[in-house]
This record gives sequence, structure tokens and C-alpha cells, in this order.
Amino acid sequence: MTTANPTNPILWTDHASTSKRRNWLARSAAAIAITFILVALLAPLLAWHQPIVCKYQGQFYFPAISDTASRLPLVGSWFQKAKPFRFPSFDARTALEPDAFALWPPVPYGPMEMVADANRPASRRHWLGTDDRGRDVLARLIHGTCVSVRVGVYSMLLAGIVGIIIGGAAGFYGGAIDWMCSRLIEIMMCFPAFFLILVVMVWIGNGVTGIILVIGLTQWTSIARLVRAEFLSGRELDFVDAARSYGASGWYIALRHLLPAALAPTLVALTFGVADAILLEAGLSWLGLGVGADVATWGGMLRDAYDQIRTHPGLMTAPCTAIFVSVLCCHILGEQLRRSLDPRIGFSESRS
Amino acid sequence: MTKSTRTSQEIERQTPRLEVSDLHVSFASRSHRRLQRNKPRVHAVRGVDLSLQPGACMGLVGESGCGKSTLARAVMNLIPLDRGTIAVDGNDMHRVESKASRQRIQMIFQHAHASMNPRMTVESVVTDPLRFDDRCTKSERSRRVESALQLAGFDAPLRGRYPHELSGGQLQRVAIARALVLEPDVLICDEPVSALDVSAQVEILAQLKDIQQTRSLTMLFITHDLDIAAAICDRLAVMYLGRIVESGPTHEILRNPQHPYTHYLSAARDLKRTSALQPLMGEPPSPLAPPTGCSFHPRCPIKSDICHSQTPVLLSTSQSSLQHQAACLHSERMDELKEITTNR
Repeated sequence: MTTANPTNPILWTDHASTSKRRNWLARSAAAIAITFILVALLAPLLAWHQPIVCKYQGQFYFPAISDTASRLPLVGSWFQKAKPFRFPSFDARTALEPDAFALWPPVPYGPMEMVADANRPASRRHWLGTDDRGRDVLARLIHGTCVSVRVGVYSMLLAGIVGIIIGGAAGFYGGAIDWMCSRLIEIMMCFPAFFLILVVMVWIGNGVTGIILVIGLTQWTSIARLVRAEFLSGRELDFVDAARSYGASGWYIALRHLLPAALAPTLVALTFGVADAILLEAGLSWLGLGVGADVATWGGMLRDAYDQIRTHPGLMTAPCTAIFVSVLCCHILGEQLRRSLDPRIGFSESRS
Repeated sequence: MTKSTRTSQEIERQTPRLEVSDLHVSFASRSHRRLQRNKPRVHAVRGVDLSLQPGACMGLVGESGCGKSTLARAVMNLIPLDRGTIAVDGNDMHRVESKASRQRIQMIFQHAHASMNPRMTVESVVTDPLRFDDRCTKSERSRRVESALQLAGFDAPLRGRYPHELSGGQLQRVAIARALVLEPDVLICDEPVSALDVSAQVEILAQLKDIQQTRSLTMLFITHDLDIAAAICDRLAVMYLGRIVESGPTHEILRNPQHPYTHYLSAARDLKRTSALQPLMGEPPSPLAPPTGCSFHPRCPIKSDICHSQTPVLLSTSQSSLQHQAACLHSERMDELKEITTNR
């Protein structure tokens, strides 16, 4: 039978296993990415200025756990109200007696806390040393992960939603709507995104939400183009005609028959996009236009380290490595995803 | 156009199940200059009349590009019409907006594989139409899917498979089940077996014939193969360049073709057995600029000057049957044509 198979119906095929080296790479990249996400979610359990468990005036408190819970996405606000996790109205660092029971996180310092002399080298107390204001570098690195992961994931979610809606509308309706959406995409692509973001950041001021919005609303163009192309080619296929012939509505065809085919390349583009977003956020923070000096970020750490690059060049290594590893991870994952979603590459490899 | 079928009294009593009248479909040509004001149009279907009685099976035969599939898509309301009406039991399908009446016509597509979403299992492919059937409740769905698959002769254990895991014959059975699951009155089959190997063709044709008879379905069967049409259809309509050139009972058309094109088509069947026949020369003319008068005249060996200017209409020619009609100005010279083709 001479029928074209437009898309591979199986998401994760076994083509990858033919190349063990890439499989190994992809597995480690996935493991590192999951570690980054876990670190971001559980940051106060790893480095915080409050203990995980402590006994204060005869009662047990879980300050770090409650902080972790209240920072979780979606459910965090619920934990802020829930009673057993309520934040204690004391500072364990000063209020607790020295011999009182307290289980501290592995890094018992907050990211903004000045805990030692400036520019101390790595030691048993400060595993990566301290920065120019005496803050623990490891604690800052851990809490910088939160910002990077949040910016990367949320901005790409936003970009994905905007891209799918605009690209889908363009591809599905065609005609005048396609023309308008395509021109909008081209206009967005013509702007040098970084400078557009810079201008907007100066205008709206610092803040994670601002960065997520700005990155999400400028980086959707490539996704929109992918989705548009998939919808344009998909709506000519026979199974769309078949669906129309039994009375399926346009919305149903778009969501049930066309969108699943478009999701695969979108997912790949989003994975690469996370890397771009992390870099963009680091770049903005480095310029001082990012999240703000009151929050630890990798870009902000680089900025601080850059000021004394001649006296203490070692301070650059930690944030640089974190940015490098996370961006590399996203690229390896995206590439692996692209390969396993592309039926043609899969076939040629399994034969060779 | 003259409709001499209407003179036949026994037919006049019933309204046809499916009636296509004066159907015109054309497409804007894409291959020409973009800024051209009047883009040339491809005239795919140029005035087709068809009338199918309940339970009838009509074969639509013609070479590639003559507009068979366009006609099917137009009947399914998948492409806009220039002119003409498509009526089921007298109700114009393009005016009726109700889903239920549209679902009375269903179609089996030419490429079964392409007509199914590669990400859906057989079961969900067949269940999908039922989501749009207001009479069918959720609990009823699985029962109806099961009976449709059974009717189409599909192995029930394979229902969890994906289309690419099935053979061509099995896929075509899924396509049949999907078309039947809405319990339509009219089934349009667009070359349902042309992509299958011969053994699978026989199986699917037998299944279709069986379903058509047990369900008393009205069927429009599109094919380029006269043998297949002869096996399954009781009436034939021969299409050439967007027009019906001959129509009538299958056995009459095959035994005694009244249009030169039909003659060549049936001669091509004989060509498989004897090589004494002269094949039809030339290419079909471009539907961008159809020839004036009779569309077939550039290739016709018995043409005369009148064929250039006068467009023939379907007229009853045979003495034996009023239903056998041909659109040829020289159908009385068919014996001459037979001599030409066999002697050379």
C-alpha cells in the first residue's frame, strides 16, 4: 500500500536504544533535569535559615517544611492557610537555645543571609565558600535554581499556549486569519527580542512574574510557526475530511485530530526554549534588570562575581557551571526528543 | 437536460434515495500567475445528474482525473458546489443544516490508511462518529461499535491496534465499519478496493455486496475498473471529463456500449484476454479548458464536424431499455467503431 504515514503515532519509540551512547546521554540529561526541578521545588529543605524540625518552648515546629510547602506551585497558597504548617512567629537562629532540639537543612544558611566574612574559600562550613557580602554561595546557587526553573518552565508554558492558539488559528482557518497571524509572527520575529525585553523590563520593573510574561510573550513565534505548519498540512489529510463527513465540528477536529500531531514538534521546541529562557533570565539578571537584588539568581551571582573577577575569579565557577549544565541538559533532551519523535530519523538509524 | 428516465412509470412513483442534479464543481487553478485577475478554473464536474433508487448500487466509472472523487466529495459536502443540488429523499443536503440528515450519507475513502488518524486505535476510529450522533447515548456506543465491526467482518481482538499495525484489507474493514456505525442510508465508496491486492479485493467486495443487500443500502460505487463495477453494481454511469457520457443497467452497458468511450473502456477489459484491440489514443484533455461540443471528440474515431459544436445530452438509444442512455451524437455508428477497432 502506498500511503504516506504523516506522523509517528508512538511518542517514545525504541529507535534510541539502537544508539547506546545517545541513550546514556539522554538518560543522564533527564536525570540532571529532574534533579534541577527537585532542587527548585525543595530548595528550603536543602538550604534555609530555619531548621526543618525544631522544638521551641516545648512544641515542635517545621519552619523549613512549611516554607517549602507554601512555595509549591498551585497548592502553595493553601498550605499558607493550613494550620499544622503555619509559620512560627520566631526566628530559630536567634530564638532557639543552643542546646534545643533542631534539625537543620544540609546548608543551614539562607540565600540572602550574611553568615561569614566576605570571600571565604570553600570549607566544611561553607562548601562553596562565601561571596563578596559573606553570603553562602551554595545556598544562593540552590535558591537561584528556583528562579531559573520557574522562569524556564512558566515562560515556555505561556509561549506554548500563545503559540498554539495563534499558530493553530492561522493554520486551521487559513485565508485572512492566516495572513494576519503570519504577519504578526513575522513582526515579532523581526524585533531583536533581547532588546525588546530589556526595554519592557526597564518599564515594568524587576520581578519574576514580569520576566516570565516578557519572555513568554516574545518567544512564542517559533512554536506558532510549527503549529501553523502542522495544522496547514494536517487539514488537507483524508482523516480530517472523514471527520467532517460524519459531522465533527471545527473545534473537535482541531483539538482531537490536528493538535496531537502538532504537539510533538511543539514539545521539542519548548524544550529548547527552556534553555533560551534560562539564558535570557541570566542575562537580564546580570544586567541588573532581572528578578532584583533581593532574590538569589544565577545571573545575579555572576554579576556579583564579575565585580571582583580579578581578585576572586573562583566565584564565577558555580553560577557558570549551573547555567552551562542546565542549558546543555535542555539541548540534549530536546535533541533526543526530536529524534525519537521523527519517524524518518528513527528508521534510517535502525537500518544503518 | 433531458431526463428520459422519468418517462419510465415504475420509477416515477418513488422519490429517489439520492438525487444529484446539474452538479457543477470547479477549483481555482493554483499554478498560474498570482496577480492574474481571472484565474483559470479547473472544471472538475460539469453538470452531472444521478438518481439512485433506495437499495440501488450504482457504479461510477471513469479514468483518473475525470472528476469521480470530486463528485463524491461534493456529495459529502466536503467541497463547495458551483451549481446544482444533492438531495436525499427529496431534501436538499446543502440547505439542510441538521447533522442527523447529513449523517444519512457516509463515505468510504480511497486510502483507508490516510483516512484514519494514525494516533487513534481502531476502536476509537470507529467510535469517533458516534460522538456526533445525538441519538446514540454513551452507554450505547460500545455496542454499536461492536456491531459495526462485526458487520464489516473485522476481527474483534484487533480493535486495540493502531492503523499502521493492520493490513490493507483489515484497514478497509475498519473504514467500512466507521462508515456504517452511523447507520447511513446512502454509502459512497470512493475506489474502496483499488489499493488492495486481488485476494483482499474479492473479500472486501463480497463483504460490501453482502452489507448492501442485507441493509438495503443505497450505494454509489466509484471505481476505474469495469470488472469490479460489473461484479458489484446493478447500474453503471460512465464519466468522462466531468460529465456522464453513458448510464444504464450494467449488463446492457457491458454488452452493448452506446458511447465510443465506454466502448474503449470495455474493450480494455478484453485487452487482458486478446491483444487484437487498438487502445484509445491520446491523453484526456485538460479540464482547465474543456473542448467545445462533445468532450470526447479530440480522441473519437467516429467524430464529425457537428461534434465540435454541439454538446450531446444523455438520450435513450437502445430499443430494449429506456434506462440505457448515452451522450453521443453518433451512437448509431457504434458498429462502425467496432469494426475500426478490431480490424486495425
